[in-house]
Amino acid sequence: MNRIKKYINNSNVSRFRFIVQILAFFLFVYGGYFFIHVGQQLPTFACPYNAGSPGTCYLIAMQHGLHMEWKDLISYRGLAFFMGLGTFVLFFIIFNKSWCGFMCPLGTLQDWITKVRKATMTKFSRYDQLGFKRLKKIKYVLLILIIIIPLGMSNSFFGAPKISHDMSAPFCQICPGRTVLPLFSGDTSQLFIDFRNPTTIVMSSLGILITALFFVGSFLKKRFFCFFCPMSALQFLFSRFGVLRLTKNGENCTKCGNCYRVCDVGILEIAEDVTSKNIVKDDCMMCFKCVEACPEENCLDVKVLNQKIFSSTEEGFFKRYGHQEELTKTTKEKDA
Amino acid sequence: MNSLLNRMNIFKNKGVRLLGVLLLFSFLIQTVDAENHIWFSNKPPADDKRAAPSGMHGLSSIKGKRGSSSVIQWLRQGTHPLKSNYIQLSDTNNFEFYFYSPEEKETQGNFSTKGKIATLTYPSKEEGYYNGYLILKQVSNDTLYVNIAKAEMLNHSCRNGHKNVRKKIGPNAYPKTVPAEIIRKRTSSENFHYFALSGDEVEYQFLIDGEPVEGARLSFNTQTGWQKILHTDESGNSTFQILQDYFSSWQELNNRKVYDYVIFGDFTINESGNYKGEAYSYVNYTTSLADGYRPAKTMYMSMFWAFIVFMVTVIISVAGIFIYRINKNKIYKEVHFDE
Repeated sequence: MNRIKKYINNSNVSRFRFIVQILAFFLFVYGGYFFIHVGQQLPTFACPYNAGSPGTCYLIAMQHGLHMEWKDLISYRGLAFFMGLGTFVLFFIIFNKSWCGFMCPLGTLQDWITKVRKATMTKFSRYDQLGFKRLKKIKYVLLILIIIIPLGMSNSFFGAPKISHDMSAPFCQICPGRTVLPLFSGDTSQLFIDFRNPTTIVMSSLGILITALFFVGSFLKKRFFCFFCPMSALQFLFSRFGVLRLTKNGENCTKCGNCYRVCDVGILEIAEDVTSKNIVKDDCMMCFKCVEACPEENCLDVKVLNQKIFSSTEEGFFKRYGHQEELTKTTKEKDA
Repeated sequence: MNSLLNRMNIFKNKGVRLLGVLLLFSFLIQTVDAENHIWFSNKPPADDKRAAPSGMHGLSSIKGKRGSSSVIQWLRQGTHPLKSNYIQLSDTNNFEFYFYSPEEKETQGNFSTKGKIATLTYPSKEEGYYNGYLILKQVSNDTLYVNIAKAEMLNHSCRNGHKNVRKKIGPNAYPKTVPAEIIRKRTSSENFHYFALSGDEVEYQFLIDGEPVEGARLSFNTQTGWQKILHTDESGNSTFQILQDYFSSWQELNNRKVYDYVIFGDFTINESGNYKGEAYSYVNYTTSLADGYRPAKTMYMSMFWAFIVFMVTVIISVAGIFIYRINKNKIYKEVHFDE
């Protein structure tokens, strides 16, 4: 048992993740062509606008599900919505936020764009802490909007007129997943401005604008879009129920900052917070790069049902990074 | 009639007179035949306040007891999708009605002859196409007229998922009970969200006893009065390209605007028989199918402008970041103080 533990702790999880990401990408982009169906409540982007998608991202199901009158929401019809939410939570509980780090095709695409940037020796960008704190709120604003807008299409808030049906599935209208993922099936039909009326012109233009920002942003900033993703915000609401967890033993932390430096999203708390046990933050995508880069014994642990499956160890750290000087050199290069 | 013909010199010859009578008679039959076209419409009459639009497929529904609702269709007569009259049957006991669920089972469809207008209602539960058929038969002039109004209505909610779409969207035919019908051929990419658009080519097949019929007359009628008549090929198929009916300024454009159409199929065969004690030598089948179409996507979708927006965003953001980075990395300048 100890041998297996040692083998896992010394292993290169990033390489494993890279392979899983490729498999998941093909599953969620082309699975439909192989008659695979994985449901409509997936806690990751599997865009139904893509013909090859084997399932549906829960955000679209949620937006459609909330497009009903109050009285329906508390009737049997509403039960369907809550059952859908329950399925989403069940999916999510198993892998927690590693859906983002391992499974999301849009996330994988951003990682591949990052590899292109590295190959072209272009400097990457990072938000300063003030900007980080301000910008991270955007995903919660988006989450609130995609709950309120569908409800406002079926119900009148405080006597105000109902919202136009042109705002149907509002997030999908601006999501880069809708425009980008179908491209992998050779479908360019989502790249258009909808000239039906001013609302659709604004929404479809916004969708194209965000698609352009997605490519530029992902090239310069690792996991650029994940920072604004309302799916990430929705997942975080249920993260505490996750079976898979990332925990920190603050007593073993020396605040060396390695975990922060390797974090694609740039979460500072993972290095600074030595009091919290559960270290999964709302922007965390559970890629476990931090565990790999931590040189302290059992400082960061990946647990399933409270059983450690992958822990930070000094031996593992040196196996992965060679020696301290090399890591310092690498991180300094990255900082530069 | 004879006195009228006698007054007209050209009809003094007996042969010509007979021909004239036959021509006049055939004209009268055609007129009556055309007026007898019956079909099911999902648009309510102006005075029916019970019905409300239901779902994305252009159907109407009425509320029932305990919050339940039923999809409703009204029986109409004529060929014009807007101007046809809402009708009641002249003989409310002489009809056949069949209703099938998407699972191809005879199910709870109700054809009501109460009230001023005959209606078809059913509780919509299963995913896929419901099919309803009203069949009227009548012998006249040695011909058995079989007049069939077909209603094909899609029920779908995204909440119920999209499994087995191809199986559920049909089309289904029921030759055991319905002697003739028009079916709309499904497109290769068709799913629950299909809606015909202007410019689309839609293929129809005319069947008698479940077998395709060559040479049947299909007439496609839109609500703007446009009519196209084609005859089916050896596979019983005819393809209509839906014309552009909707023209509007872009500020007022509504891509969900549904234009109605109704298609009629007509074919006569030599078949002798007896119906309710009346002998006939021919059987004439007339069947209908009504649906709708929306404006063409090209009217409101522009890929060119999407490309412009995309490129402008990329150029501005890249230039912005480039300038930001240059300004951020200003060359250090030492400051000398004069002491």
